[in-house]
Amino acid sequence: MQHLPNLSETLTAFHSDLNRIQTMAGTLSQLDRQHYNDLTKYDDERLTGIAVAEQNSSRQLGEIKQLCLAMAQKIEEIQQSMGQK
Amino acid sequence: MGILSRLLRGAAGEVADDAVRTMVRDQYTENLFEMIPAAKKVNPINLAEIAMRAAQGTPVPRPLGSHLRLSPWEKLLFNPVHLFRFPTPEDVGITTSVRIGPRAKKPLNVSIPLLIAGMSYGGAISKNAKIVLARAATMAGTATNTGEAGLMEEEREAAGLLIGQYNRGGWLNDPAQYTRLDAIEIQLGQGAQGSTPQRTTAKNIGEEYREVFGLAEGQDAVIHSRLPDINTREDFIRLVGRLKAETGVPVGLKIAATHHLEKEMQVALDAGCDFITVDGAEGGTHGGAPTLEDDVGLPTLFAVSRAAQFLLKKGAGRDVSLIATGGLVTPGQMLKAMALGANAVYIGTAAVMAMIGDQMAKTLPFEPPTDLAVYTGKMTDRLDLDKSVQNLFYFLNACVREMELVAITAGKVALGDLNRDDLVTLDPFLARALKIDFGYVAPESQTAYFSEFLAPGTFQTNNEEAAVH
Repeated sequence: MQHLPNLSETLTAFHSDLNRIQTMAGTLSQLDRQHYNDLTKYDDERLTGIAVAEQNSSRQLGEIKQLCLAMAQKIEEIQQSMGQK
Repeated sequence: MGILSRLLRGAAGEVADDAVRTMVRDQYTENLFEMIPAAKKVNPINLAEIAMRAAQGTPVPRPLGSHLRLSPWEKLLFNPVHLFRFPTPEDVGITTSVRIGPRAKKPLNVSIPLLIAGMSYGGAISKNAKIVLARAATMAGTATNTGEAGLMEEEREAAGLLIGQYNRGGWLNDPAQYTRLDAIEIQLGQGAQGSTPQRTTAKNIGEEYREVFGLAEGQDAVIHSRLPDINTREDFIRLVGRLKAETGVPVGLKIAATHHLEKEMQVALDAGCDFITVDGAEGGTHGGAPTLEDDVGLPTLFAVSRAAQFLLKKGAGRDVSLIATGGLVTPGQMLKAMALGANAVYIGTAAVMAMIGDQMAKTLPFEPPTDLAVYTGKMTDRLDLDKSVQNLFYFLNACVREMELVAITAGKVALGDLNRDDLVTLDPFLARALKIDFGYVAPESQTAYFSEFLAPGTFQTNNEEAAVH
C-alpha cells in the first residue's frame, strides 16, 4: 500500500462518492415507496402492477444504500489502519 | 323449473332415499358406510398409499413432502406496540436486505430474505420452470438454487444470483461449474428424505438432462447417501476449505434437521462454513418415500430455534448465516423463522404453487397442477413463462410486504431486527423450549408462573440424567 502515493486520496474520494450514492439510493427508495402508495389508490390492475414494480425497486435501492454504508465503513477502517502505520 | 330439471331432481331423490335405506338396514359389515370409519381410522392418505404399495411393491414417491404439520407456527404470535415503544412511521422504509456469509471474501447480498429453494432440473422440475424461478428471483433481487443437478446454462444466464448445490450425485462438483456460482451449498441431506440415496431411472432422463448432468445414454442419475470421497469429518473440513479458497464465495452446508443438529453444526463450524441451511421435516421434494417424509427428522420450527441458539452459544451468530427451510408457506411462518434466528428462508413448494397460480385451470380436473412444472409432467409446454414469472414475482413482493407490516407494528425498521422478544406463545412447553414469553401471564410473572409447576429436575430426560451422574 505504501507504494501507492495517491491511495489515501483515492480512498477519501471513494468514501465521498459512496456517501453520495447511498444518499441518492435512499432518496430514490423513498420516492419509489411514495409511488407505490400513489399508484395503489386507484384500484386499477395495471397501475397496481406498476406499483408492485416500484415497491420492489424501492427495496433494491434500500439494499444499495446498505451496501454503500457497509463499504464506506470498510474504507474508514482501512483509512484508520493506514493512519496508525 | 324445466321438465329435465324436475326429472333429474326426482331421480336424485330416489337414489338418495335408496342409499339411506340401504345404509341403515344393511349389516354394518356389508355396508358401504364402513368406508367412512375405516378411512377415518386409517386416514384417506394412508388408505390410498396402502393400495399403491400393494399394487406396485415398491416405496411410493409422494410429491411435495409430508402432509403432517409438525411445526406449531400457529401457536406463536407477534407482539404489536403502541406507546411503550412506538410503531414504525409508515414513511420509513423497512430494510429487507440480507448478507449471507458476511465473513466470506465475496458475501451474497440479497434484497429480500426469501430465497428460492433447491429444486433440481430434471430430478424435480422442468427447464422452463427452472428459468421461471431464476427470472422471478432476479426481478425480486434474490437468489435461486440449482438443487442437486449440474449447471444448466439457461438457469445461470437467467439468475442474477445463483446458489449451487455441491451434491451427492457429483454433478456440480467440478471447478469449471462451481466457480461460476454466487454461493455454494454442500448438500448432505434434505428434510423430506434425510440423507438417503435417490435414483432417477434412465427412462425418465431426456437428452438435455443427460447433457446437464454429464450422463451417458442409458445411465441412471444416482444421488448417494454420502458425498463422493467424503467419508470422514476431516474430509469434509478439507472440502470446505478448498471450496472457500478456490471461489471466495460463501460456502455452506445443507442438512436435514435432526436431533443430532448441534453435533452436525459443530462440524460445520469447525470446517469454517459461511452459512448453514437446516431443512425441517416438513420440507418438500419431487417425490420421496412417505416413511422418510412423515417419520424422519426434526420439524422446522424446533430446528431453527435450536440452530440459532447453538450459533449464539458458540459466538458465531454474526459470522455464520442461518437459512431456514422446510414447509414454510405463509409470510407469517417465514417471519417467525427469522424472529427465531434465521437470517433468511428458502421457499420451494410455495414458490412452485405461486408460479403456477391461476394456470392450474389448464390441468384440472384431470391432472394435478404440478404437471405444468415437474420434469416428467405431461403439460410442461403449456406453462406460460411470462405469466409464471409475474405470478412468482408478485407472490414474493406480497409476502415481503406482509412481513414489513409486521415489522411496522412491532416498531422495527428491519426484518432482521425482529427477534424472540417480538414473539409470544400460548403453549407453556414452547415458551420454555424457544425461550419466548408465555402469553397467559405478564412478562414479569413468567418465572413465578413456571416455578409453581416445575421443581428443578422434574422433567429430566435420560440423557440429562446420565449427564448428571
